Amino acid sequence: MENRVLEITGVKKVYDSLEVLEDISLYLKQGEIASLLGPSGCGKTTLFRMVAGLTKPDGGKIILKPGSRVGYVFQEPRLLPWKTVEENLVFVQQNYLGEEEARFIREELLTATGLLDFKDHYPAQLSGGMKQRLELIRALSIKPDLLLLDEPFKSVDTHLKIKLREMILNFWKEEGLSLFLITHDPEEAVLMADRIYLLSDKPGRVIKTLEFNKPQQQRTIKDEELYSALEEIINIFMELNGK
Amino acid sequence: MVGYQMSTSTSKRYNFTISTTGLLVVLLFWHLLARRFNPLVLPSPAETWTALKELAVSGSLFTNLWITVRRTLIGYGAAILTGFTLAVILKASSFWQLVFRPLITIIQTIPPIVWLVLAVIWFGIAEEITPIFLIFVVTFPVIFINVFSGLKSIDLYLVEMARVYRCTRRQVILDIYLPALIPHLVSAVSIGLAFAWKSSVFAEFIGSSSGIGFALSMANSNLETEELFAWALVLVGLMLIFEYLIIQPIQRYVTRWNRHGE
Ligand SMILES: Nc1ncnc2c1ncn2[C@@H]1O[C@H](COP(=O)(O)OP(=O)(O)O)[C@@H](O)[C@H]1O
Ligand SMILES: [Mg+2]
Repeated sequence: MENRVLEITGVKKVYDSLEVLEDISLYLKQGEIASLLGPSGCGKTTLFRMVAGLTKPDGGKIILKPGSRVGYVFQEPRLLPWKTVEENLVFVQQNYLGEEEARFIREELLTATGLLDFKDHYPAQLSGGMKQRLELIRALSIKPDLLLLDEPFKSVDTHLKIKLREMILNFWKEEGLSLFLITHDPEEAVLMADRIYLLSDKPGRVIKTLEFNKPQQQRTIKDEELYSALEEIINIFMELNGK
Repeated sequence: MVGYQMSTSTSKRYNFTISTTGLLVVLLFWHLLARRFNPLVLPSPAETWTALKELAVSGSLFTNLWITVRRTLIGYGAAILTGFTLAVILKASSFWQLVFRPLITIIQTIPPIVWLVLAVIWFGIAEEITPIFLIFVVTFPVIFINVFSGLKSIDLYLVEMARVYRCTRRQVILDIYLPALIPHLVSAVSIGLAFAWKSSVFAEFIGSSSGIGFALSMANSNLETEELFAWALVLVGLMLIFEYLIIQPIQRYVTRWNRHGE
């Protein structure tokens, strides 16, 4: 196996009698961006929760590269309301990094996201966009090997969405980390991912895998290869819904 | 931001003015009404104030005040500790929840007078234990219920987040459970405090030979109505001091993270 951070084979998950995922197999190579694209309710978040160790699969295997650090940007906000911006970062860093290194990374991330002046503010005093940025840098502040992003751009306006996307790509390039991105927006997947896993309706299975080689920073939606991939994805989903 | 602060302080001053005016109107009304009645029935504000000064000079005011405050602090302190601990234990174990939950409801529904009669039977009159027991038994369910519902409202998503980032049990308790719970505890303490004062005076009135409640009962049987009013005033003052000078500042401090744009 060439340097994989994550390898999922034949994973299934059942809640009571509800089959959420059936026979999922996929992998993530070190330093690449993979995307899970699928209709809502097909088990994307459930798969992330299993990768993060919050719940166990009912079959199959999830193998993380030993010693990997996992950063997780949750689908819904999970900041500690009684801790300031900086304290929220310290809280997750404390079990990973020494004080010196932790402080250095904190300042770097706070500066890059324009939150340095707000480091002593509480989450209730931040705007929605600032909270979103804080969620993102919290996950980055532990120097993760694998970053799980669960619909990080939902409920964010277009302008901020583009800025956040750029920011994530910058960190990704500099740090050489691996990104796993959940989205239900095909355009976003096509712009960001090296590999897209298309999931079916519940119970989720991988129905198609698409790969892209063009560097992310050069991609635009007008690009012919990306555009036709986008069309293909949309057709597949239309067909699924038609049934 | 400056505009926001200005507007809060203006509205604070406005609220204060309204409250003070309301109080003065009541005082005036009391004064006018008292002129039409015998002081035995309704003493005037001036007569009440004189009685209060006499109580202070004789030393009775501070002796009894201190006795009542001390008993209340002991009984209520024990209730806070017990209510809090029991809430935590019951939340953690469904077995003890099944055992204790109905019991606490029963304790809460029994009227205070029944507890007081029982306390007098069990512990006798002229004992410290009677008022302390009554305060405890009346207030500990209040603390328990409020803390218990606070525990139920803790956001388990946050606990999950901490697990993802390899936090220990200790870190989760200190940085998630406690900060989430403390505002509930403080508001429970604030709710229970009025019950605590009332129970201690009530118990002293009937089952003790010292404290404000006892002084009230003496004034009552000696037909010294202005002294009765003076003691009532002392109690009101005491409650206001605790509520506004102690509890509310603490409450503001423990929920400081919950306020927007300051
Ligand atoms: N803890 C749970 N218990 C029972 N059902 C769950 C639980 N978590 C998720 N589900 C169900 O599993 C399905 C997939 O959920 P989820 O993974 O959140 O989907 P997605 O993220 O793709 O929208 C949904 O139908 C959801 O209701
Ligand atoms: Mg989801």
